[in-house]
Amino acid sequence: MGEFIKYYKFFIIAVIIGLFLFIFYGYFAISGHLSITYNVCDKPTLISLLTPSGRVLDAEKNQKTGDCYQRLTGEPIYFSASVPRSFNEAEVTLTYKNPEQNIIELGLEKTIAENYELQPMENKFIDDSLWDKLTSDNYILLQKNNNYKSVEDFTSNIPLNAKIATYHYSPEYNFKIDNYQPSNSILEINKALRGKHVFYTYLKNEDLDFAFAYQDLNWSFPQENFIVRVYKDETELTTVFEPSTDTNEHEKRVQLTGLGGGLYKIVLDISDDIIIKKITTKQHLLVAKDKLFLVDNEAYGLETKPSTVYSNSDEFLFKTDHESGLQDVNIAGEDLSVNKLGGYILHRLEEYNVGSFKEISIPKNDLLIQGYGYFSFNKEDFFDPDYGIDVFRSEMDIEQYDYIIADNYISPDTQAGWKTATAKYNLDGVLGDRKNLNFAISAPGLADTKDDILIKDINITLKRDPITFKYLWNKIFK
Amino acid sequence: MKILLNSTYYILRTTFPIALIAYFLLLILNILTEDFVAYYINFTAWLWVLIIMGVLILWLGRKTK
Repeated sequence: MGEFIKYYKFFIIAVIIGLFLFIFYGYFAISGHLSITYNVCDKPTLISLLTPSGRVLDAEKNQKTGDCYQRLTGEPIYFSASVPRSFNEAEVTLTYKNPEQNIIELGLEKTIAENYELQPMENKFIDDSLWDKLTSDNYILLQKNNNYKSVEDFTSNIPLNAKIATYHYSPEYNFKIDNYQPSNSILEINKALRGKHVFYTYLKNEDLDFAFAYQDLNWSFPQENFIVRVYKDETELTTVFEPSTDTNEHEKRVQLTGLGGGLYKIVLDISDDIIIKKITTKQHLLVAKDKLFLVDNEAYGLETKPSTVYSNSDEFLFKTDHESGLQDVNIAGEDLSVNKLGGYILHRLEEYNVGSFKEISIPKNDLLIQGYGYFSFNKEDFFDPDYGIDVFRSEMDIEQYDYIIADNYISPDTQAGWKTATAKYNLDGVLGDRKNLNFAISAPGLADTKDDILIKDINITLKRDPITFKYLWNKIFK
Repeated sequence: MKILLNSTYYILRTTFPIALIAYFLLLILNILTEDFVAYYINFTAWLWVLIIMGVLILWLGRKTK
């Protein structure tokens, strides 16, 4: 017995030491690999609970199958992972059931707070489409008519006159306007705009010349900067800034000479405390992307006057925060009453051609208008820097498009009724020491659909360089 | 029967202090690693095992006297 107990004691101690080594091995990710799984019924440890509780119901268990899951009734849904080391890559796999939702995406918070890099998890439009489907590497091309024999044929020569929707795909082309001629006249936009706006203009054999008349409201920030950034092909060419402290009207001019022809982006990187009262430019093509915040209204100490703007967006969101901004607007002949304060009012046109030009009449301003496309202040100033290529959205009228091209999308697998989909992320750019990763599940329109999404498991596999003798040698001695 | 009770008693008496020390060491390690150990180890279940082992050791100790 004494001999047996001696060996048994040795065995138990060996098991405990083995356990410590196993944890040590995992904690330092010596293999360069860490896989963590969270079943929604387990106690959360490295992967947090799904939140907020209003959109995620308590865990449920199917008594027949033993499956444990949580019901998602709204979106976005958040969770985070706390990992002991900083890793380079992450693969997140969700095990879920989705009877009805068309698009599910998973986002990783990067660079700045609340800025999520979305990756596709499921797109039922693509999975269930009856159009001709071509695949190559990570690309999927759906075509209404079989005009292309391969994805490469399409991507190497994108038909810019066709209606194209892109899903996580950025088409490569140099924007060019044939027969463009610079104008000798000066374009003056006497519309007051509030806060950040992104403009696009087009140049050829001319200088970029803009003057912005602006005024600080000083409602929220007594001291801030008036900032204008100019980009070409996402490369920042210049940043002009001026400290803004008083509430007097100022003017700032941005002039760049010797520029090549092409598309230029001008970002007014300002807070909602600053109003642009007038834009004067030598450029005659000027559009604002996705948003206009028109504020010629008594609420801002300005004269209330009507505005007419033009857009190629097919749906719009309107919002006002003041009673003086309650009004009836007209969008391409359809009336809409902006009759609530502080909330967005969505308007989808009943009949439209994708990307067609629409006139919007706004009687009183003090209105934030958002859309998926471009806005201009005059008909003749309008141009479409995207060639009419739209980013895929679940509310789109797909039948109006000729092609849908997706990148980085792999349809989910199905096993025993549960789907598994994986999103891959490069963790460069994640805020902080990359030990806390914040994720968001996006499912646009989920609150309006009858069936909920059921989430069962979340698995995160993280990768970094393994700890080898060479790695340690380099760390210590180099 | 007596041999079975005796063997169980000695096995438990050998295991208990090692499991108890390991429990506290892992608990400390869990605090140091910000809950990393708790991903692999269920501390509540481990504590229950320790309690049951303790009770069994006391009971078997009396039985085998």
